[in-house]
Amino acid sequence: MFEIILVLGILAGVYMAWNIGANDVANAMASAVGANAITLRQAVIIGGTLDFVGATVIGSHVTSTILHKILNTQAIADPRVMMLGLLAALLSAAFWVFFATWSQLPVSTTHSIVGAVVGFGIVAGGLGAIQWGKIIAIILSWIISPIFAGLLAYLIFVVIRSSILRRPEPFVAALKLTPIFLGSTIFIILVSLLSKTPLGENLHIGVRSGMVVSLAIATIVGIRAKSWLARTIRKVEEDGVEEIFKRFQIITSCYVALAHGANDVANAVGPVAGIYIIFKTHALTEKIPVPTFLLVLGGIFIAIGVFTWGYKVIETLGSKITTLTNTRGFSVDFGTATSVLLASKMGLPVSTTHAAVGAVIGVGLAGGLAAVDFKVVGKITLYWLITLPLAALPCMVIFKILEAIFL
Amino acid sequence: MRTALLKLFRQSPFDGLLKHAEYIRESGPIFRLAIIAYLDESDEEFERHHNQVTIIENQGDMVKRNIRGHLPRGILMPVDKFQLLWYLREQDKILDSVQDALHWLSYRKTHIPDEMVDDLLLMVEKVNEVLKSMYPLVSSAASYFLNFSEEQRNTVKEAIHQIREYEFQSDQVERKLLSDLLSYPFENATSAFHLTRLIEYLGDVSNHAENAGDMMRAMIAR
Repeated sequence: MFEIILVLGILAGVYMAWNIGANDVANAMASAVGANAITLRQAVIIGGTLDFVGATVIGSHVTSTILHKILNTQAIADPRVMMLGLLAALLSAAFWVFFATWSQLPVSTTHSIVGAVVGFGIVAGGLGAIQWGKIIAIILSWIISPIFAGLLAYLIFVVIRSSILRRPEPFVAALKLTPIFLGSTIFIILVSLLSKTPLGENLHIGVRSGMVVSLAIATIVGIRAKSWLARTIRKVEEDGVEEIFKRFQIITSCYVALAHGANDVANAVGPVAGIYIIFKTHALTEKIPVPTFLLVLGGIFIAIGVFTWGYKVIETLGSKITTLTNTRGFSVDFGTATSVLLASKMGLPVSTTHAAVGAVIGVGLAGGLAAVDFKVVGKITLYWLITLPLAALPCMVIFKILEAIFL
Repeated sequence: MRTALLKLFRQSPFDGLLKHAEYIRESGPIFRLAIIAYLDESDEEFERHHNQVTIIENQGDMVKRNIRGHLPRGILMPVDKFQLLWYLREQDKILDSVQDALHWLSYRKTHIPDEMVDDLLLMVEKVNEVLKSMYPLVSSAASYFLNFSEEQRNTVKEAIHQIREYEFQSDQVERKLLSDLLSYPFENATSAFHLTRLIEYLGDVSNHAENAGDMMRAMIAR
């Protein structure tokens, strides 16, 4: 019985991971493709590779949240029930995500899996089985992360406009600010890779030393990049500015892919990790860490999702959002990635897509885009709200069916 | 495919504005040929050009409706939506006035006194200059809203200044023509009315262009 549940769990988790790669990575990579900063092939390679890196190197915090912190494990004492419930949650979320993909609804995989896990908790252990404090924190993060991404994108674009675009010599102004824009991007990437991650632990780098090393590298790269850009760019004025940000966007694309992998791998791997741990130990306690090979497996299938189907979605989306020039694309990418990465570090599962929407709205509010439809936010909120019950209810039904079959 | 980003981006109104301005530019030489044909009393040629302008105005109207139809509540743009719609209205009235002038001419065959022909042609030239200057205005404004460059903003301001200058010149000729027309001893009062109204229609082209320029100035104001 345990073997069957494990196999089914892995299959459902693999499908979820594939779906994340196939659909959600596009939201992270399309702006760079639309702005011609990277080609479709480069987007696929960056998206696939760095989503994998993000998933395996930084992804354990959020996975641990979905696995340990949503449900009160003491309320569901029977590990077999927990195993079946996690399988039911995966199947329900996978079904809802499949339906949403088929009907082109703007549904988040994060919301689906959290809704499904909550559904299982309620049906198996009652309302007391849910750690409502954590759920409220997660729901708050779903509200805060797009707003934060939007605010950040808004501020970055306003700074770009006032301190570069409106200057008499915009190209010179952009070069002057290169160490700040590029340096801060690299700094955040390095800090997220080094602090409180398996990589940082292996390198014996603490939080403070990680910050110092990251700052030093970011400063050096930022200053060297300034002279490199001045030497190699053959365009001037506005075109030169866009060319500088075009090159920055290659870095921010990596940044978004990394953040996406770090946060979204949990949607696929979290419940599978629970099933696996119960399979191995016949118990689920808070102290058991997420096995790295499962994060790797999740990362691999996200990458496969990008390579097999995601490229089509990136291509379609990239061809539709050409109004995102490099300066706008940089603002959107930076806002999105920083918001998502921050949430990942706090162990909060957020939607990368919603953060990206928030960032685009932020640039739109700053007057940076020709026409952005704010009403989409209403539609997204509606699907946001219906996803929770629509992932939870099937999970309850599936759990009861599985319970009848296996227990 | 499941993505919220796709539905976020709407059609840019500036593409439509540019297309509309292109129709305005296109109407200028045809309008001029229509007036010359009228002066030459070549009815067939006048009707041909008149029809061409009517078709262009109709196409311009379609573009205008398309822009309006794609600006729903809650759209975020670099400019205020109502300012943009007001600007569009003024820009569209330019094309309407060109059409109205030709419609008005087509209602009656009035002989234009020889001493007024030169001034009338001068006014048509000024109107034509105005019609030509709308496209650079919209084009530079669209670029400004993309790159926010001070240089581009100055180009928009120069384009607005140029339109004001043409409007001023057109106004001068209009006043002279109206004065001459009203002092001319027409045998038939309808002829006087027909030509006076024609001059007013021609003046309307420049007036609406100037209004559009003023709206654009407000749109690029910081």
